Amino acid sequence: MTMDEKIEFLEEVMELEEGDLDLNASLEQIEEWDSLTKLALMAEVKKKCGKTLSVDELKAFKTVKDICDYLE
Amino acid sequence: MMTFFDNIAIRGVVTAVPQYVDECDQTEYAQIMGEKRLRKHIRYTGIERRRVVMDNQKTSDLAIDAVRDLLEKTTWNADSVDILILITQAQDMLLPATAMFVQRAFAFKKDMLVFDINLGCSGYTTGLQTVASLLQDFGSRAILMVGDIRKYNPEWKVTGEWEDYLTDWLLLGSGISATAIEKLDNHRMYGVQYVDGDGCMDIYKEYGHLSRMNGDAVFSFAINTVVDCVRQFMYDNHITDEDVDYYIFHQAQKLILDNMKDILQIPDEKFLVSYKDFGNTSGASIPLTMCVNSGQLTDGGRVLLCGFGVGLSWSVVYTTLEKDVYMNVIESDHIYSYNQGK
Repeated sequence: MTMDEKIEFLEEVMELEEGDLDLNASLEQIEEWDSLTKLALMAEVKKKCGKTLSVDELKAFKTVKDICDYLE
Repeated sequence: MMTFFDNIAIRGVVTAVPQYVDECDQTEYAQIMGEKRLRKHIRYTGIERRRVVMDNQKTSDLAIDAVRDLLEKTTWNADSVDILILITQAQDMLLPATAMFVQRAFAFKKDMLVFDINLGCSGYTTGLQTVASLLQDFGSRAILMVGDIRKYNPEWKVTGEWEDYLTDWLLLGSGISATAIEKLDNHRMYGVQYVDGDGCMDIYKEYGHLSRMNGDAVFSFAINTVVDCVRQFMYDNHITDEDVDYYIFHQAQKLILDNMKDILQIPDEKFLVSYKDFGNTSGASIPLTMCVNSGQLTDGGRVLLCGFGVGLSWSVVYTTLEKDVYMNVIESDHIYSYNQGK
């Protein structure tokens, strides 16, 4: 995935409008980054990338960029 | 652990639920969670309402209602039953086992096996295998009761637990199911059973407190470990999608179920659900889903059942339901337990 595709993917998971997500944004500051969205991300990563996102990996994400790096 | 029986038949399934319907979309809940968050919660979980017990109705009350209907419609005499097992985490009392109250309510014989098992959402599929195994040595007829009840307690607001607990409360529904199981030649049941005690604190409830769940860990467990187990179980037993008419999984919530269905590539029309109107009824959710969808199951059918939850534990059963198997959902607020303390 290109960086634009990753951002678009995360905007879909977080149910944000296109262009709303800043790569360097802290996840804590994003209202939509709640417990349900985290679960949706785990599922979408599994379906889209075939990867198993562990609970520890999920907890380690601090910024949008952290997730994008994981999606590499 | 794999199991196989060639002499186990399901003869009837009845699920009893309390009459009171608790809508998730309520002003009180919105005030606590925030309207936006509540709507998102309902949309993701897919659970719009659940049944909640009122007054002093207990697990045994619903179990008695379910067993009464089951005995009547299967025309089983109570004294022909050899095993009576209840799988619940909502026992009427610490002692005795709640199954004893059910035994007392009917003309069951005394030389039978009666006890409770402490297990949650994997209870039905584990229970079917347990009962099938016991029936190889103890008699020929069993009734397996499974489920939990949820009751609102105003004290939660005083202790401050209510706000934290609300997201779980909005998932959980009440229901107790009873299944008539008979030893009968040429009726096959395949199963598999797992437990991982490393996850024992992912879902737990301490004395005097509300239950707690590590949502991330449970979700990951469901879409990875449990899904892999279903896939492996089908492979090991040479079961393909063509051999399954209906998949009935524990009704945890929509987000989990939709993802399990997608990953396993199960067609929508084969994936039966009941969570929207009944929520997550713990061990009763698989038999409740069978009863709610009995119209589709009246012609019988090959079903793949999968329970998963507290333990962490997970189990799968594949069997064929006969054409005339009796299924029913009954609503009751009847209390039989008025004299239990005597």
